[in-house]
Amino acid sequence: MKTISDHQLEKIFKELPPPVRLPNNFSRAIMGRIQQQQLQETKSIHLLFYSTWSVLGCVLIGLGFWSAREMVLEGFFEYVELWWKYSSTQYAADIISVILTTVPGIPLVLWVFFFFLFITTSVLYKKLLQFQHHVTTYV
Amino acid sequence: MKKLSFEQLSDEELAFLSQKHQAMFEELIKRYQQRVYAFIWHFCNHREVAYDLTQEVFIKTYFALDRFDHKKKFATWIFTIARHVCIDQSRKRTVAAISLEQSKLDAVLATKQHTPHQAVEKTNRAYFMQQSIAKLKPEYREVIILFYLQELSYQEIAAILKKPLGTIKSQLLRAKEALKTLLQDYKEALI
Repeated sequence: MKTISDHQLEKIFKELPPPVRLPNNFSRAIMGRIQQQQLQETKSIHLLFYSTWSVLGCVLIGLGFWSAREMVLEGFFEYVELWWKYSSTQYAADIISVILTTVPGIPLVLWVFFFFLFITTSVLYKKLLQFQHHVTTYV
Repeated sequence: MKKLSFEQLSDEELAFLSQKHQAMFEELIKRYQQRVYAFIWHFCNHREVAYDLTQEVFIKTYFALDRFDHKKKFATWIFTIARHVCIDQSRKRTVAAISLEQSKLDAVLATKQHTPHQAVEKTNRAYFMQQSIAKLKPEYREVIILFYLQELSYQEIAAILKKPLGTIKSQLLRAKEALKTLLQDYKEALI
């Protein structure tokens, strides 16, 4: 039995009907889904943003209270009072020295702060800019 | 200044602009929706699944636009994504398990605009072809669909499948032979 030739195969393919046509609003439906996905993504980014900054805020408040307590014990406010009274550089130096020795974890807090700042601005900037574009150009 | 319309822009230009203007992407969808749908439909042999997967392909494409190399062809890129989506889907479920009635219905729906006699003939042809293509090995099925139904060049197919040109040519040759063998039983109805 003779097999189908290449030419015949090509002809069969050419005569095949195209698949069922997609509805006219197909592209609209996809754009709607894309927008929905973007909104969800933005919501989760916001959630991440606020929760990380809340944690950082709690850490900073905790350290602040601890530092204030230490400063009071070291006589910080007495130095301030004396400096205010006599305007002496000696007292100013004492104030700075108390701050540096009693405020715990200043470098640590700064590291954490800048790390969070860097991450959130670099990651979120791109995302939020994208989102802003979509909102302004599509809606 | 003369305003540029969407029709004047190439697919690659539209893909580039779509990153900032969603309306451009909608135009790209309109250009490719039928081709992508046809590709997936022949690949998975199911209308409903093909519809969902086509949506998925466009959504994935949209979120990957920033990774698109504008020096390359958009068609090649989107078919690569479509292929991956089909492969993922076939791993999740056995597409072969789809009922014959569904395939027949798809073929009928595809030919509904013809006269009754023509429609019966075309329905049968479409059905036999669809069944034969579905029986091919996945690697043969994809080259057949891309070459005959999407009318892509060897180079484009090689780019989509990430295989050397020679491999594509020999794969297509073997796929054609396999398809011809499968179609042999329906020869009378087809020719």
